[in-house]
Amino acid sequence: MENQKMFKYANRKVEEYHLNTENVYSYWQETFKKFFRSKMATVLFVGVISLLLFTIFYTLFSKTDPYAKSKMIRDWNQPPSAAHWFGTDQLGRDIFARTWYGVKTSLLLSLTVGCIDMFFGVLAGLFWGYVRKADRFMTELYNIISNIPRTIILILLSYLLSPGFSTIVLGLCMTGWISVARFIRNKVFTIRDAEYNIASRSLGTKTRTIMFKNILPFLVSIIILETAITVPYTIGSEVFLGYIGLGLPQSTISLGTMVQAGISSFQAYPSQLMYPTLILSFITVSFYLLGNKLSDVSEPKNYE
Amino acid sequence: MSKVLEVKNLSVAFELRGKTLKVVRNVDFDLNKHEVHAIVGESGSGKSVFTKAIAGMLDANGKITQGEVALGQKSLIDLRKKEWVEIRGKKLAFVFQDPMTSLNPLKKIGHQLVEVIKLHQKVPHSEAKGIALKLLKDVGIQEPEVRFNQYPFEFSGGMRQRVVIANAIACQPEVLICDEPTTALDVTIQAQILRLLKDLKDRYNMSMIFITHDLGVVANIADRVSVMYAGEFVESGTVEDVFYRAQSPYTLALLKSLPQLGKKGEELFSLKGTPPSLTEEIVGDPFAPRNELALEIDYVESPPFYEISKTHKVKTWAVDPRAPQREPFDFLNLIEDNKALDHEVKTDHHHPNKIVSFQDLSVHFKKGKRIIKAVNNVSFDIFEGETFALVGESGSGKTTIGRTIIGENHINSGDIIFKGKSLKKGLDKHLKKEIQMIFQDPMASLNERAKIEYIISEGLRAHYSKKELEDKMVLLNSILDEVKLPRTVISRFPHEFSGGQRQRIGIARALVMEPKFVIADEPISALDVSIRAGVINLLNRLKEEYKTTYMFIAHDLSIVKFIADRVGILYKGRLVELGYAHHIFNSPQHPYTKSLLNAIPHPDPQVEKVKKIIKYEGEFTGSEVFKEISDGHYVLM
Repeated sequence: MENQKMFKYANRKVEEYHLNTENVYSYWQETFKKFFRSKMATVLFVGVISLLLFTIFYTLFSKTDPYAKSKMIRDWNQPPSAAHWFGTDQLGRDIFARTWYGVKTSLLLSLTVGCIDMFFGVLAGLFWGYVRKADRFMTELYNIISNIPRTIILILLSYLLSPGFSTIVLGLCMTGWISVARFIRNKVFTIRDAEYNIASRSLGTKTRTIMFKNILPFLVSIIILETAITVPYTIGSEVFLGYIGLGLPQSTISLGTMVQAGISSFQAYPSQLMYPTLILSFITVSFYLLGNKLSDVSEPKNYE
Repeated sequence: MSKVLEVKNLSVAFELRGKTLKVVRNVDFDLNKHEVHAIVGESGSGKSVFTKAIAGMLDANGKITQGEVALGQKSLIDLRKKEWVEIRGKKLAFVFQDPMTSLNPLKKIGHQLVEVIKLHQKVPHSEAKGIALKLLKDVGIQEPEVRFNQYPFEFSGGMRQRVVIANAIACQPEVLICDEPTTALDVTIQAQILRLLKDLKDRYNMSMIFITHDLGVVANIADRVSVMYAGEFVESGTVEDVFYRAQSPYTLALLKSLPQLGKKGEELFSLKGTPPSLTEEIVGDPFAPRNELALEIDYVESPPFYEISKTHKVKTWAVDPRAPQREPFDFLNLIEDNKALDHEVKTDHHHPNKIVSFQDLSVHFKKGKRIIKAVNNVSFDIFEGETFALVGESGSGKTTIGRTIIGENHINSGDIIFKGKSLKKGLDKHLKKEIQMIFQDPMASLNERAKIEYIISEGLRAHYSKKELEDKMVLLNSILDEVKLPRTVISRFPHEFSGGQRQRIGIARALVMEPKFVIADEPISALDVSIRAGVINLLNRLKEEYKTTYMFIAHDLSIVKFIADRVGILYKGRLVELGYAHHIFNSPQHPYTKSLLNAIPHPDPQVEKVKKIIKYEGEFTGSEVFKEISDGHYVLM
């Protein structure tokens, strides 16, 4: 039973300000926590990291020479064996080794293109979206550049410069950045006149500072998405270019050249196409799914 | 009175970031036939979650953890999707807050209505169309045959809400749940929608649950009221019980915070602190930490319900016979006392300096081929040191004027003169220091990814060099003390703060610049009722200390009455009345001003329920002139 004493005034001080600890969290910590809560994301993430690490270590430390041809016919087009895990191709070269060297080249290519495209694309898109006066000029520029077919550019460049790694990078980047810029520009439009940006303008903050401190952080999820899509897209482009004869030269090992070779010997030895294709598919699908997932979890839906 | 809906022991919990939030905690509730039962609460009280739980519409991470809900004889717990289709729309219908997003923007209005009717009543298309047209007429939409074929974007906010209501009552449900249906609407439209809802309730024989945070609206529409705090009902009774004989400390705090009870020149009563965290176990009375008259037992044990009368029950220890007597709170007397404004107001507008002068200001917007005259030939002056209130509803041009002063909009004709300098070409850096703005939505006006330190000092960084910034730190710290935020906030991020706290940060950000002129764009309309008073007191105090001039943009006249020296009323881009606050409120001249004042819901059930609505839908002929009819009082006629 309650004591009479309990019914006296407590006279405790009323706190004016109280920090709600459940609201204290770090944005990136929460993003990664959410990301790893998904089983699919975790599995794919582990898979991709293993693949990357394996590629790096194999190409650095393996003793198998992917260029080693054999003069003996019986070494040509061998099925998988203890000596050659993926078998050999029409010149007796070890497909297993070639696959991993190919992955290295293709990933290097797509990451290079990805980074250059994103860097210039984001800067251009920020400027295009935020600075009102730039819209007209940039839109016209976009209309011109995006209408030039990439294939024509690549053919021209291959003709002018010798086909190689830097040619393809140059060709793919020249037209790629503007689509990224367009994407970014559209997103910038939606937050350009949000109250916190009006506030920054009324405080006298420089335009440059507003672009990088106010707008850019909100583009993070869309940047992640774009980057993650660029990688498989570039690898796909490289394969396609190889298929039509504009890709890397046959002397370079890449997934594109592997697929090219595999297609020509497909009728007789279908397995030679299968291995690079499997790895290629895994990379493409994983990057796409992981990119989407990371982009989803980094999008702040509600600041509860 | 038979019970249409009965809820017993209901608890609802949510999973958020790995923690469990107990949002609704062991509540009982009932709804009688033909009554309007209002639920009053602030953000985080659990009122919306409560009604969503009843209708089975909780978000994916929410769950009913215990309790029973019975609609008539049928239990509403754990129903399957198929069973819900029979209930929702037919027996239970919802009207939500935002009419902009409650309708499908891609389908014609008529089509959406007919869809609902055919789904539940299973009648042929032609018959359904007839029913739909009658419904549109019932909810007050003129020319229903024309409107039937239009899309939502062709309707105004108030009309869209009428269509939403039509959708809800299409199948004559027994229970209509309205979740703040008028909060997003202008005050004159709100008055009309409330009358419509009462009308429809009688005609269609419905019972209503009405959620709101506005006590004036409660006084207007409710028969019974339940007050919700931290997931439980703390007081429940008829509308007269709760207004005139309130017993719960929280209800009393809400009533005391009403601006109608405030005396000009004195501070408004404000509630300190924030609602308790929902993840932790709440020991004792959840309101105790904010209650200055809390008893020892409030911190130890949760109070039971005490029956004050057959209709009125309260969940607080304060009414226990062993508790000390409290001072009586005579609501009716307090509200009468402070009704008329002080007549001894200085009318010395002949002497002080003008700080801002609007001269025939016009701001136009182009929408395709149409030109919208958002601000049309507006002229008035603001004097140094006063608080000027610019009042209007949506489309009046008040926000446009505010944004034009800070340079966001282009001036088409006329001019704004600030301390002798013209603002027609925009603001130079020096002027930006002197004119600052406090924004409306605390959830949107802070950069979510920046630390508080950056946010508050952003203006300083733009105007002062690194060395001067260090000196300014002293000022920054003292501003933080002024807005009653501890100095530790500077290393935190905006998402860690509540709406009221974020608004204080916004105020600190504006005032650290030591501006001469502050534009406050509806600074409290997005805040909870009990928090508003605190922010208003703060703004008043800061004005005294820093000797700034304020321009308040508002649509809530009850607050304006309390803080403004002079008032300007805007309607459709034109200034229709201008004068000292007590002139405007005690003897309004323009018919629009009269309708606006009449439309404010007065938090006194006796008065509000018998009030007659004054409607005004004027058009300008273009030949009106601004005339001075008495000392400093101008009217457009």
